[in-house]
This record gives sequence, structure tokens and C-alpha cells, in this order.
Amino acid sequence: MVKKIFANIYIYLILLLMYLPVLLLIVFSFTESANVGNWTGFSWNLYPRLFQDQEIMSALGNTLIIALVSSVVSVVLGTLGAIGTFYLKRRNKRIVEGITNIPVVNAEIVMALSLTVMFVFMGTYIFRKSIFSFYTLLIGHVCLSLPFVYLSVKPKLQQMDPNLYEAAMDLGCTPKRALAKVVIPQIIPGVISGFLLAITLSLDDFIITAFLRGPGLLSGYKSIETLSTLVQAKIKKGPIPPEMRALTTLIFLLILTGVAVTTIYRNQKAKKIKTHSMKRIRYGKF
Amino acid sequence: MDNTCIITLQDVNKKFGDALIVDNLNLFIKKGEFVTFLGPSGCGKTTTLRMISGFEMPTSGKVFLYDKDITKIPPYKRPINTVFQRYALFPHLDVYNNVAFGLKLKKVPVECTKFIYNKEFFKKLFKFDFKNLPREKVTKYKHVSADVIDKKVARALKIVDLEDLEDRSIETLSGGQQQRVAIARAIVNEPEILLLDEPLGALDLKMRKEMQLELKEMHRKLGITFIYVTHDQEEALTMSDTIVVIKDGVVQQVGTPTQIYNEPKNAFVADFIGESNIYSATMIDKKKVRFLGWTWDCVDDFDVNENVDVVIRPEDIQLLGPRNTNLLGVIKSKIFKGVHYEYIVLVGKTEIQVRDTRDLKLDSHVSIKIEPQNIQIMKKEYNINAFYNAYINDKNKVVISGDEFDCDLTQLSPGSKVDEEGFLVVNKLRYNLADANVAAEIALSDIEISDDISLSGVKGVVINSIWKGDHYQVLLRSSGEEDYVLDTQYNWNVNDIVSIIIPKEKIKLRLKGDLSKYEENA
Repeated sequence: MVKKIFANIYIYLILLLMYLPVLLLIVFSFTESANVGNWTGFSWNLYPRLFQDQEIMSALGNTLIIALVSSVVSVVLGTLGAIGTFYLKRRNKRIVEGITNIPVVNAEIVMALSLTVMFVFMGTYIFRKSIFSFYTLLIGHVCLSLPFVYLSVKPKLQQMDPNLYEAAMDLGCTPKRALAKVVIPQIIPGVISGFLLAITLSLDDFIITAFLRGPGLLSGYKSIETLSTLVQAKIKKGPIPPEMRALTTLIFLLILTGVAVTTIYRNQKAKKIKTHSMKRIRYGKF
Repeated sequence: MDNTCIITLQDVNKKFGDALIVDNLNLFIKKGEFVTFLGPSGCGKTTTLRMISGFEMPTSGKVFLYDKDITKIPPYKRPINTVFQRYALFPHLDVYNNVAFGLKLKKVPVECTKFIYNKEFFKKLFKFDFKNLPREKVTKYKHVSADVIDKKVARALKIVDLEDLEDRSIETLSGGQQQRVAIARAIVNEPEILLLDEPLGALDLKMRKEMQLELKEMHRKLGITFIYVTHDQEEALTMSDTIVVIKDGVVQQVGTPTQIYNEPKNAFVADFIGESNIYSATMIDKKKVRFLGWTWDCVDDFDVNENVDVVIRPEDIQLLGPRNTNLLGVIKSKIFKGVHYEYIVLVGKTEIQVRDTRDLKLDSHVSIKIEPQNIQIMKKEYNINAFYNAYINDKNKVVISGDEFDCDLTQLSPGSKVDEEGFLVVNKLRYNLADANVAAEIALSDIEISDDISLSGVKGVVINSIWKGDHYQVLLRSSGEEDYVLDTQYNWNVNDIVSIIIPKEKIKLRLKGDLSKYEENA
């Protein structure tokens, strides 16, 4: 009994330590003081101010555009790559898998630096001008998230009954249709989690963004500013703008709802299967 | 059943890398038949099936559907559907959509009229003469309408007895139900041929027996050709019109179940189908054959002095009291099998399996009688030494008619090894193979003989030596009265006594029955 109480206390303590900073941020998003820890009375004002702040809004816009575009690109490339390697011969498969595993364990700074060097080289000797722009940033983010998409799709392919593809062809599908009608629906959970992973990786990426950004998007002629680079730039000069607290609160709540919705959906699906099989047992039909 | 050949395999070879899986296969399958490909695992039966369905292409040779060459036609264009080994149902679709999958893809020719957009058309259009607009009849390919799909799916589900489960998801179904959905999904397309690749392998015994009868009934009702693949000889005998016995990619025998059972063409078929006693024998006179140290009357006519194999089914041997002037033996073991007893009778060093309904005493002396028509004589094959009555002893050696040879047990299961205590270990499970019955095969070139009789525990006498153009083929008889055939460069004199040496990795073993029954309880 005592053991159980201690175990519970331990869990809640850890959860508290994990979520305390976020909770603090949420609480202080309802006061206008410049510093966290200085409560100057309750106010909603940070929220309207957030949406009026041009700088933050354009940084948010940039971040979202990059996250979405790079995720879509890496999901398409990563999924097709995973399917392609899955049906490769064993030796080639091992080579490809080895190569895709390296970027996952590799330090991000190495990738950022090597891409920078490559783009500088290309800019100097091939294009004769700086080529840093939205596209170099996009390539960087795709490189970052592509192996994660591949890794989240691969196990779904391995779990799939290898005969499904053949069964589809047996019933009249051309290879392309079999892929679209049978293989893709089977691996879609892996594709979605790969997509979400790619979005989160891209949303809070700083190193690659800082190295590879150039002018473009909502920043116009200036270098593209994302949330992470904006915060970094602000910290250099002074305190974090208080509106950022409101922004992080909103992002946190958004993610929380997302997680809650998927959990509820999954539980209900599991329940449905359970009741079906329960019925079967109860009526003793089969 | 008419006599048109629906599938013809012509000189079909299939290689995977260097391994020859199917070796020069020629086969005719008649329309409407229930044909079973029967053989041990890895014999090439599934590969053959996959060449008919179009998932594999033969390395050489041709596949015909009626008289159309379909060798290079992809699977989705063949009027053939498959029931896969593990069903391969689509888990993201419910029962209805699984069954309707093929129909929804199908396009059927529909006759319809189309306007011809020429000068006349526009002239008449401007005169508002809509009735006489120029039209032509064309055939268009259209998807099957939803009503038709509904009806067909309902009918297919009725055939497999699953009417009320249309909207259930696949994961809520039991194994047997999934099996039925897989069959419904295939037959709903009204294929000319239904291929079934060990479809009952994943079901339990009772379910399997039920499904066997149901499949047979379905075949009768649908009237289409069924091609069935199995390694279960009982299943094959129960269901088929024709059985094709395959071994190492070569067809051994094609025939009806009764033909295959009663008149096996060679020792392999006799051994694989049902229980049997197989012995090496010699024809000593017209319609007289000698084996077990006794001369028997028989009905098959072979050349005098020819070496042959004989097969006798256990139920065809009669045990009589010892006073009869027949071959004498001792009952060594007795197992009650419900309807009958299974006896092992020892004659000299040789075992005979006998099935008898009477309860006889262990260790009692009996005489053995076999009716001449029950002795099936087969031409001896000199392309391989095959011993079907071998077993593994407690020293992990293979015993062939009393002669012990070292052997490699790890070949019985891939990825296995033998531990210090002599158990075969596969995936942490231990198997005690002492007394396990096996079939042993040794190639002619893998047996060595030497006149230094201290080299091996097994000795034999040279019976015959024939010059085969570039080598001698020597026939040996061992002390256990077993015949060995080997190819050698040297000429040996008849009646030489030699020692027989077989490298242990050269003895190919095949376990009779499943490995699981030898599992050691730790």
C-alpha cells in the first residue's frame, strides 16, 4: 500500500517537473509584465497584442509555410523511398537502409554545415551569386526530416502481409493501382506519424534554419525569419517579448487538443472491435 | 467434365539463381477437374502454382490457357484467382468490400449508341431533327453496376455461408471465417480456374476436415477448375480428382487418388502417400519375387534377375498363427489406433508394419501372408539411393536396415544445431530425435567403398558391377540386406567384401511427420 503511494507520488512529481515550465508560461501569458515571475495583474492583452505584432506574425507564417511544404515533400519522397527499398533485393536494401540511418544519428550541425558549404560552393562557382533562399532552406528541412519519415513508414511495410500486394494484382489491379488501393492504406498510419514528426522537427529547428536561410517568403528582401531565429535574435538584444508567451501557450493548447482527439479516436476504434468479438462469443454463433 | 485442357505447362523450367526449382515440367490440366499438387515442402509445387497465376515467369518453357500462350501475361489479366496461404485479406476493408474488390475493378463490355459528329449531324441538329441524328453502335467498357456487385457479393457470401457478416471488419473474424471470405473474394469474380495455395494450413484439425468437404462440395457446385497445393497426403486423397506428386521439381506420378495409392510408380510416391513397407527385391522367376529372405508370388511381370522395389500397404498383410508354412516373425510393438492395432513385426533384422483389427500378444510368433495382387512391384531407380525405413538412433546416427551411419541432423530444420546432450535445438526448443523415422537419400556419387574393411563399421558384398561408359556402377548388399548403388572409377569384383563410407553431410534426411511431435519437455 505504502509502496503504491510512493510510486504514485514519484510519477506525479516527475510529471510536475516536466510540465512546470509550460504551466508557468501559460499562467504568465495572462499578465502584461515584461519578465516571467513579476505578476502585474490579470489581463488578456497579450493575446490581441500577439496578433498585432507584425514581426511575430510573419515569423509564424514563415515557420508554418516551411514546416508544411518541407513535410509534404519529405513524406512523398520518404514513403516512395520506403516502398521502393522494401521491394529491393536484399543486398541493395541493406545498403540503402544503412545510408538512411546515418542522418538520424548524425549531429544536426554537421548536416547544416555541409549543406552550407555545398550551397556556397554552388553559388560561387556555378550560379555566380548567393543562392541562399527559401529553396535552400527547404532542401535543408527535407534532408532533416526525410529519414524520420522513412523510418516511421518502414515498420508498417514490414508488418503488412507480403501477399496483400499480390492478392490485389490477382483480383485485377495493375501494379500502380495495387499500390494505391492496398499498400498505401496499409501504411497510412506510418505516413501520418512521419508527417507529424516532420512538422515538429521543422517547426522548432534552429541550426539548419540559421545556416541555410536566405531572403524570401513573408520576410521579403530580408533573410527569412522563423519563430526560432526570431526568439534568438530578440534574446540577443533584451528580454523575450511577452507576446511570445501567449504564442507558446496557443501552440501548446493546439498540440494538446490534437493528442486528445487522436487518443479518443483510437480508444473508440479499439472498443468497437472488442464489442464485435464479444458479441461473437455471447451468441456462440461461430 | 470434358476433355479440353484448360492449362498446359510445356517444358517449364524455373531457376532461382543457381537453384533449379522446377525441372522440365510437362503437365495437362483438364477443364473442371480438382487437381492437387502434392509434395514435401520445397518441392516446387507453390512455384508451379505461381507460374500459373502469373506471379512467377518460367525461366524457360510455356504456359497455355486453352491454346493461348499466357506465359508473359501479367496476373491481373488472367481469368484466374487465388486463395492465398494466409488469406491475404485487406484489413482496411470490411467483408463486403473485400469480396467486392475484384468486381469493382472489373470492366465489362456494354453495347451502346454514340452520335457521329459529322456534317449530317450538325445539319439535322439545326433542323431540330433530333430523332434521326446519325448514330453508331459501339462497345464500351464500363464498371459493373452497384446492383450487380451487391447481388454477386451476396451470392458468393451465401456459397461460403457468411451471409450476415457483410459489414464486419476483417480483424473481428475467426480464422475459419477469414478463410471463407478469402474463398468468396476469389470465386465472386467467376474465374475459370481457382488456385488454392495450402488454404487450410492455418486451421485446426476439425475445422480443416470440415473445410475439405465443403471445398469439394463447392467445386461440384461451381463446376470450375480447382488447382490445389498441399503437402498433406490425406487432404489430397480426400479431395482430388487428380493428384500430381512432385519431388524436387520433378513430377513423380499423375493419377487419380486410387491409382496413386494402389499403384505407386516408384518408392517415393509409395512412401509419401500413406503408410507403406518398402523393400529392395529381386525377380527370381516369372512372377516370383524375393524379399525378406522369402520368395513370393506376384502379379507384375518383370525381367528375371531384375532388381526392383516392392511396396506393401500395412493393411494388406495378414498375420496368421505360427504353424503355417509361411514367413515367420515376432511382434515387436503394438499400438492401439481405435479401429485397428498397428503392429511392428520383426523378420530377421527387418521391420514390417502391419495393421490388424485383432488383439494379438506382444512377442508372439506369427506367420506372414501377403496376397499376390497386394505386392506392388516398382522399377528400381538407380539415380539415387533412397531408404524409406530409416530411423535415428539414440547416438544421433541414422540406421538403415541395421547399418549405422553418421549424419547431420541440423538439415532437418533450418537454423538448428545439436547441443552437447544430443538434442536438436531450434529457436530454444529442444527436440529428441531418438527413434524418429526418416527417409534418407544418398546420391550415387557420394558413397565410397574401400577394400580396407577397418575403415567403416558397415560392410557389404559387391553383387554387380556394370560399365556405364565413363564409370562403373556398383551394386552392394550390406550385412543388413540393404542394397546400395554407387558410381565409381574402379572396377570391383563380384563377391568382394568392402567397407561402405558415406560422408555425413551427404546423407539427405527427411523427417516423417512433423518435427513438433519430437519436442522435448524441459
